[in-house]
Amino acid sequence: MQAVQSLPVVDFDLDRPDPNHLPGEAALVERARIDTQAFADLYRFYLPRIHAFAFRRSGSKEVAEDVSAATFENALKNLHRFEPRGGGFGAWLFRIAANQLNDHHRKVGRTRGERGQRAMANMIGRAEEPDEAALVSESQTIVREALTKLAPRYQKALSLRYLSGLSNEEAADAFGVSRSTMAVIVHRSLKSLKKHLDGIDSDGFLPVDDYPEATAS
Amino acid sequence: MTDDMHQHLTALGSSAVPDPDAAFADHLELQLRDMRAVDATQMPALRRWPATVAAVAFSVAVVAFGISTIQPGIDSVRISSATGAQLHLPNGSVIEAKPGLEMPEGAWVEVGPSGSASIGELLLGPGQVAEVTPEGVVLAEIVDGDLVPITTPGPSEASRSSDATAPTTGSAEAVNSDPSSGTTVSSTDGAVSDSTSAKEVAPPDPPVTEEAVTTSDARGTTEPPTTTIENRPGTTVNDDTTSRPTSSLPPDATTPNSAPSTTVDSSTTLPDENGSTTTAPDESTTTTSVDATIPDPSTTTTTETVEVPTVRLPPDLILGNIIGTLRSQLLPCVHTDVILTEFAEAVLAGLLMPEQAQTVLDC
Repeated sequence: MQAVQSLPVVDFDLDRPDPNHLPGEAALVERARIDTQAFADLYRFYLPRIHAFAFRRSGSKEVAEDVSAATFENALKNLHRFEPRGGGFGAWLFRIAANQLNDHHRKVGRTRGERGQRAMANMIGRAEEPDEAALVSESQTIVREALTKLAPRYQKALSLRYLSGLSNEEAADAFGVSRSTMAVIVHRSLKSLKKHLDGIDSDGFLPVDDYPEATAS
Repeated sequence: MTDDMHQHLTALGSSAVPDPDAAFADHLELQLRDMRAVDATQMPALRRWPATVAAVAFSVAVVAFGISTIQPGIDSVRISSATGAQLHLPNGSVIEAKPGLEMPEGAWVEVGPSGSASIGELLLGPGQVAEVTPEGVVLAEIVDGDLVPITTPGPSEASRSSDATAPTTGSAEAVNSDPSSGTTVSSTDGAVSDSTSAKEVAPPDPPVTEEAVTTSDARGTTEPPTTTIENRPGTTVNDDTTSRPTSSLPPDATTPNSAPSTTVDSSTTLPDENGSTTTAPDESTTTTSVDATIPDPSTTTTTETVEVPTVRLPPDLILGNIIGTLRSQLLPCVHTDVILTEFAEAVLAGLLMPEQAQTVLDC
């Protein structure tokens, strides 16, 4: 007698809410174009995610708040241009946040000279070490600093892929490319990140050649 | 190699992060609500402004284009003068017609019993009505409360309508015709009669054709069908001062298919004032040939020879003419008017031929 093979139990509980998606998001976005309360609902759902994304990327509470505020302000101003395609409102919101993070790091990096960069690195390491010791390891700080040295396109790709909490497909939508293209870009970004991390000396400083402003001056 | 980076970044992405500060979250929400409030009051209006301007401009352009398309050739129509007239506007309002008032299309002027009005070159008398139509200002009449334009007859149509009962009209004037008795032309003085011998003359020249067009006006009056009248040079009377083109048609020529061939060949003798008739010499014979052709398969040519008398002059005038003639021919001689008058009276009485008198008086 042939034994009956038992099928694996599949959880078909479709009513279980997805913590990463807002139910009825599309309709809520349509109402948010004219309804303040609808946009407030979207804001409350996505603010912790955007804030976390900015914090992981910057490692700074202030930067996270600034980026979060700028992200939602831009979203509100440009909501009439939003077209519900590819990743939806969440992907669109993370794209804005990623651009804001790139702008922030570009502005900060532009004001840094070689000496200032070294001092900043020391200050960040020493200042955050007592407060965030339990949350962020030193290696994470080094990786975060290495991210700021990548090309803006690579920074954005790695941030959306690893720090936003989006799926690969959602990250690709937020980046504005296909999933396969996103994979290629992420791969190149990782190689570039690796190169920068390998250049950091044991003291945690980047080589002088990686500071264009310093070499130019 | 990149696996390490993947692990580092995955660890960084999964690391615990602090929640946004509640005060920051509330403050940002209020800030966003304020932005939306400002956006709802100002920004949408600013965004709608270009669209509103574009919509208004487009509407104006469409209206202007429509007006230019509907009324391509109508200029502004104004009342030149008006007395005792009323201007009826298209919207139903009625105002007193005054000089200078513009009349839109559909407006009409009604002149009172003792009034008058002029619109451009159109003069309106008492009781007349003129309406502005897409074709211009036209005369109209009120029929059962409705304004009905009156078809203005053209020049040729007007000349025909003057003799609506006559089937055809000549080029200048119609001559009373009677095929059975010939044509008789009465002279006003009737003193001198002149007769012409009847002859049929073949048309030497191409006929001058006048074509009457059947028309129908608003009242349903129908003009007779096409009629061709050939006027030939011989239609003039042997009178130096008289030219009488004639035409003659049978009475039944009013219907196109009931006009059989009719030939009139008559000699007319005109009576003189005494009732006697005289026959003019051959030199004064005038041949009148009138062909009336009806455009029908059965159409034939009507040839008529009409004797037309010369006009008889008063005796005193004739005598004066004779005296004048004698005097002009006898200028070298000196003759008193008494002598000339005597000779003239002799000539007039038939006692002396003019040539004889001239010979006698010739010096």
